[in-house]
Amino acid sequence: MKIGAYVIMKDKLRDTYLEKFEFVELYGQQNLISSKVMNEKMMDLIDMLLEAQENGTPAEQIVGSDTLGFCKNYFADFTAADMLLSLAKGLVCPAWVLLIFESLILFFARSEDGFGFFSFKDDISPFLIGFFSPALMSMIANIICFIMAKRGNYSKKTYSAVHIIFSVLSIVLIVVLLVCVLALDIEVEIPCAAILLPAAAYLLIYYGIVIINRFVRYGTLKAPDSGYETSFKALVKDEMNKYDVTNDPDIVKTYAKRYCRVNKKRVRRGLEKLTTEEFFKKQNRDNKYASWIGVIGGYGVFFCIIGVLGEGIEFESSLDGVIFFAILAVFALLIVKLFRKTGSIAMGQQVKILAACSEKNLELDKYYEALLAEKADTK
Amino acid sequence: MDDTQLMKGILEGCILAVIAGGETYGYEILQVLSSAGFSDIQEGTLYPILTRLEKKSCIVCRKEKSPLGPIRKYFTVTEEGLRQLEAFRESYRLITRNAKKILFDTEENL
Repeated sequence: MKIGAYVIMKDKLRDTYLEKFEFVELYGQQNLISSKVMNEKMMDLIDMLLEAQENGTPAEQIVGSDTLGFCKNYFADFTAADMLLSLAKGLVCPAWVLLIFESLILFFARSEDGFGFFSFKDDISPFLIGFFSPALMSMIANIICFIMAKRGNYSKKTYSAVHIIFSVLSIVLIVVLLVCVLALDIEVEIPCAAILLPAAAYLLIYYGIVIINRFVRYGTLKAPDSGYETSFKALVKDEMNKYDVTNDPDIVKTYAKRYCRVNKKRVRRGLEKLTTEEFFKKQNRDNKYASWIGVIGGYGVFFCIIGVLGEGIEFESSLDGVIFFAILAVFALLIVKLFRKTGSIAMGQQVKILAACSEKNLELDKYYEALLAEKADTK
Repeated sequence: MDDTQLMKGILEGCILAVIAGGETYGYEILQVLSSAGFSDIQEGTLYPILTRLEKKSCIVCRKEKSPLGPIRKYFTVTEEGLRQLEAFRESYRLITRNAKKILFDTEENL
């Protein structure tokens, strides 16, 4: 289950129910509760609070007046061992990246003179800078939040501020380190095997512990709640379909702003303004090929940089070349798939908004203004 | 006197009894407990108990979408749960009978 998957349900809660929910959520996040436990616990809590909200039962009857005490009880079955496993999970992705990239480097270098699996060295400074700087900053931010949580500070604003500051710092750190490495011509050369083998060992140990832990707890080697995840995916899809985007000022605002910008440009060029329908048609046309153009452009820049640096790409055999371009093609397809998925969600939203505009006989910008006025009246 | 431990033990039996009455879910269990006078029971207490009962194989849980949207856990008692409930009832009867003799009958004799 993905991190924060319960979030789509959160919007249904109001006032005290939402306040209580967000407090518990913050407690879980600041105490490094694993995403799996968080998703399940938060879903249970939303179910209880939603029903209480519908029946007019006070939120205090569910959570009690001492929310912090409730949180301690609620997450009591999340042990220190679970927390360690949760932290260890954070290193799984970097370990996979190192394993895959170092394996590829070794594969492509195998035909070089004097090549040896244990002696071949690679400059890992780009990895250290690009991967571990954000990881380091994020870890420091998490430790600060964890200490704050232990001292009873559960302010969402402070928590967000800490993460924003450290995100900015990680970007600054990347830039500074890159400049230093390039200016001083520093290379951190380490034998590839010294990276690859520990990464592989880490993954083996991690998955081994996960499987043993699962077996001890649930008596099964498979994830115990796969049924829950399947129904959860169906639920997310269902909720996304049901969600009334036409009534959400933030989503409508995004399209209305774009609509005004496009029309402003057209007026400047002496063209006629687009209607909402024409605007959405144009958006779909633009989006259709945008992902491919983006990918081709990205690869174009990549090969240009290699050409400018004078390195070029030389392959020892045509098989190496085929494998190299196959890997690039897989990445390209993944990126396009991601864009297409986002595009299809956006298209669904556009159809709904267009229908709402037609129903009220308003263009998109006027529809947004009317929606804002309606919301203000309700308040 | 801190009655938390006493409550936890009794609650476990009571929650098992509620579930033994038929398939039910968190909010419904809370409402039954609340109407029986356990007004201080909150989800923080309820869910750790349900997790414990599940680990002891006394109950099983099924997940299904609730009418309001979220996925809801529906609990049902198992054979083992029914055995445990009977054992709890027996122990409870015995303990309360003995405790009553000391706590109240001696008070009446004073």
